[in-house]
Formats: sequence, C-alpha cells, structure tokens
Amino acid sequence: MASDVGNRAPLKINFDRDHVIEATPRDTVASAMLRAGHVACTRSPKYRRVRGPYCLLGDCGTCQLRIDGHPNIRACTTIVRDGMEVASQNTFGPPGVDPTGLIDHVFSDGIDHHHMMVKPRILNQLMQVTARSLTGFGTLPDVTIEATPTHRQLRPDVLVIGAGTSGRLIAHALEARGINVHTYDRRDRLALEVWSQQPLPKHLELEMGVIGAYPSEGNGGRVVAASSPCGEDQRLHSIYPRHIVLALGSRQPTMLLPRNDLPGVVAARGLLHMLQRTGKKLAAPVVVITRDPAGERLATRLQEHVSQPLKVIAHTDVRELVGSDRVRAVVTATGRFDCEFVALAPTPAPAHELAVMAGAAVAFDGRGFAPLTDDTGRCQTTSPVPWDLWASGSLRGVADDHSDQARQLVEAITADIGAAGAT
Amino acid sequence: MKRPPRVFVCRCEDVTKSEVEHALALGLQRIEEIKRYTGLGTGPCQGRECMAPLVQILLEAGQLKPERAQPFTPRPPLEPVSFGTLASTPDPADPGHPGERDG
Repeated sequence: MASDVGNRAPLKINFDRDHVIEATPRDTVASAMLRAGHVACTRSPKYRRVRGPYCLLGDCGTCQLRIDGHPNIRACTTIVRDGMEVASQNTFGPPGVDPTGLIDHVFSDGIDHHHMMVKPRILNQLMQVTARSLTGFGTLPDVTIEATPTHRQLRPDVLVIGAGTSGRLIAHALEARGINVHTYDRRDRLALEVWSQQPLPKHLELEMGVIGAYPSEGNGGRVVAASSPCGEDQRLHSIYPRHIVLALGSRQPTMLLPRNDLPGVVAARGLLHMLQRTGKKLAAPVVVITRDPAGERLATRLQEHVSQPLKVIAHTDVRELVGSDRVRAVVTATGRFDCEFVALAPTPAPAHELAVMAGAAVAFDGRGFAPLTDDTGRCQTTSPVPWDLWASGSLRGVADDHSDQARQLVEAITADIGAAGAT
Repeated sequence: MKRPPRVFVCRCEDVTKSEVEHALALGLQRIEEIKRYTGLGTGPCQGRECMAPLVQILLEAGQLKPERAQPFTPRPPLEPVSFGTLASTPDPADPGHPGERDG
C-alpha cells in the first residue's frame, strides 16, 4: 500500500480536555473516538438528546466537533494529528449531567414549535432567547486560518466528480486515451485506497469537495471545488468543463426504527470503511440491521473486521433500540440482543444534490432520487446547460460490477470529444 | 402510560415520524411543504439522511405518487468551506486579480 502510515508511536488526541485518546495516523477523529468508547459528541437542537457520528462517510450532520479551535468540523473525515484538541459542541457540562437534557423528558409528547409559548409575548421572547442559545452551531472559532487560500481556474475536457469505484475507472480510461481529465474527491488518499484496489487517475485533486455547480453563470458555467475548512492548505478551484461525469455514489439514509438516533447507531457501510481504513478489528459487540440482500452481503464483509460474531436482524423484526446515553441493545419479538454498536444497512440512496444543481433531471427510483439517463449514462437535463452531463456508478443504481457501464460511458464521451475536435 | 419511543426521520433537526404524520394530518403533502413546516432537511446534512425515509413515509401514506416526487432544491455549499477560501475567488470585474492562476 502506497500510504506508509501506521506502525509508529501512537498519536494522542485530547477529547473534552480530560480524556486522552490514543490513535494511529490511519485514524480519523471519529474512528479513534469510537474505538475508545466515546460515541457521543453533541446534543440535538430541539430535544437535547445526545448524538454521535452515524454515516462515517462525510454525509450526515451529527459528528461535528470543535477541533483545534475550529467549530463544526466533521470528525469522520478529519485525519488525526498528534496533540489535537477535540471538544464536543452544543453541550453544557459533561455528558449525563447536562441540565438541558431534561427537555427531552419534559416534552416527551413532542414539541410543536409553531404553537409553543406564543403567548404571553414576554414568555415568547424568553423562549426565543433560550432556544437560540441552545441550538445553532457551536461558537465562533478562536483561531484564525493563517494560510492564504489559492485560487485556480481549470478548463478540462472532462471533470470527474468522485474517485470511488466507477469514477476512477472512467477517469483512468479517459486519461489512457489522452483526454484532458480532472478528477475531484473529498476524501484523502488512504480512504480511496481502501475503497477499491483499482488504480487512481493521474490528475486527481484529493480532499477537495465540489461545493456547487453554476450552469447559468456566464462564460461557460462554473463548478467550484474547495478544500476542507481547517486544513493548512486552503484551495479553491473554478472549473469550466465541457463534460461532467457525476460519480457521486450513494448515501446511507437512516432507518425508521424507535430510538434510531442513539449514539452508537452507525451506518454499516461507513463502519466497514472505517475499520478497513484503520486496519483494527472492532472488539465491541455489533448488531447489524438489514433491509435487503445487499445489506446482508455488507454484514458478511463487516464480519471480517469485527472480533465477535455479528447478530444480523431484518429491519421488519426490530421492535426498538434500547439505551439512554448510547445504544445498549436491539429488541425483537424473539429477544433482546445486547450490543455496543448497531450498524444500519439501509438501501443506499443516490447522492442527487450536485446532479440537480448541475442541471440533471431526477426521478424517484425506489431508493432515492436518481438522474434520468440513456443507456450510455448521458443525463437528461431540466433546462439547457453549458456542459454535457453523465452519471455513473451507484448514483445510477449500478451495484457491483461497474466496468460495463464505465466502458460504455467512456466510449460515448470519447466519440463526443472526437466529433467536437473534428469540426 | 409510558410514551412510545421516538422514531427520528431527521436527526439533524430533531424531526420525528409522528411530527411528519402530524404535518400530513394537517393536509400538507409535498416534500417541500413538509420541509417548510417541520424543518426537516434544514440541518447540516441538508436532507442526505432524511430525504429517502421521508419519501418512504409519503408513499406509504398514499400522499405521493412516485413519478411526481421531486426533492427540495439543493443549494451551495454542498461541502463545508471557509469564508476565507470562498473569498479567494477573483472578482469577475477584475481579471487581473492576484489570486488568479489559469492552469
């Protein structure tokens, strides 16, 4: 493996001042914390329930921590550095004694924020002040970013967004044909190496997420990519592509189960990649809740990285999850299964957001919203756009073998570029 | 009587299944309407976690035809970015911006 990390003296990070957590250079903040048993990192805005990381792949909203003085940093995509200062957000006092946690019990019937404490006005104003101080996103940073951000403009023939399984197949094949391709992925090199054995494209920007696509902006439509907010190397790229290949993958929605918000409830796919990344087996007992045969296959892969035998339960058999500060068990009609982690294996939903922003027409496909494409992967658009849009991989619902659809898409783009070059 | 435990549709903004059902009972039907009424999908994940379960609830309630379903509008930034980094983009009115490098 190209990334020669691990096997060195352990790194140490400090969590909420009092806890020293050991980590390796392969760890993210989330993986180090979960392994050390710290599954909670924030409180929810309304009911003030404890929350922790869920998706472990940079999509969900509940692993945000204050890291080295920067608020709202995702623990699951932040690589550990020695001496990192990590603090939970939106909490008052240590977990378990936070007085605002009472809100959950007082309002066990639910909070109807449209009608709560509207009158008298003085009560309403007090409630507004309190609610605003409890919710929101941490407090302002207490450090400034010293690095000067750099801006670059790029005009590739093909912009590939996502270097997962299908994105890298397509980018690699197009590069081999001498086409000017630029690929972006928000993950780091190690995450991509454990994702797939396939070689990575040559022109690859790592740890840069595409933050938006602006098809109606003058001079050809722009796509903007940026580095994550607290790194040393701050980059912003304005990209003006001819073709965009959306290889955005899919997300792990939650599963509608009682107490599905408890810390320790994580996405099975995110947990698998976290364990593959760290190379450490999980010692804690895990229950996997599945929805479909793909979820069962995921559980089989997860078992290789978990010491104890996994308990696999179909979601229709689950009565409730049990626990207060973290998940403790899954209860079914036939029994109670104690555990420290519950890994949800939902049907993945296509990551449609950027596709929609770039102009792709989407429709509900039973999993989520997927772009409407022809057989080659060319997207239908909702209005005229300044680029050709293509969708590939699990965004399109391709499950295991991506090579056939990748080959078709590469042929179609090559033909397009050849035709454009000939005129 | 003990309250049944909550089922969360949107964990970012604490929106439960019963709150979505309440919105449906009030006559709201579309994804966009339910987002505006409950606040679902307006947190840090911007609907990545809750959109698919919400559609599932609407389909099961018979409130939505799958071919008519459309997600609420995604808006930038889709990934976290600092204001400082955003500010490095050149002013379109000033092509000689020092931060600009074509390549």
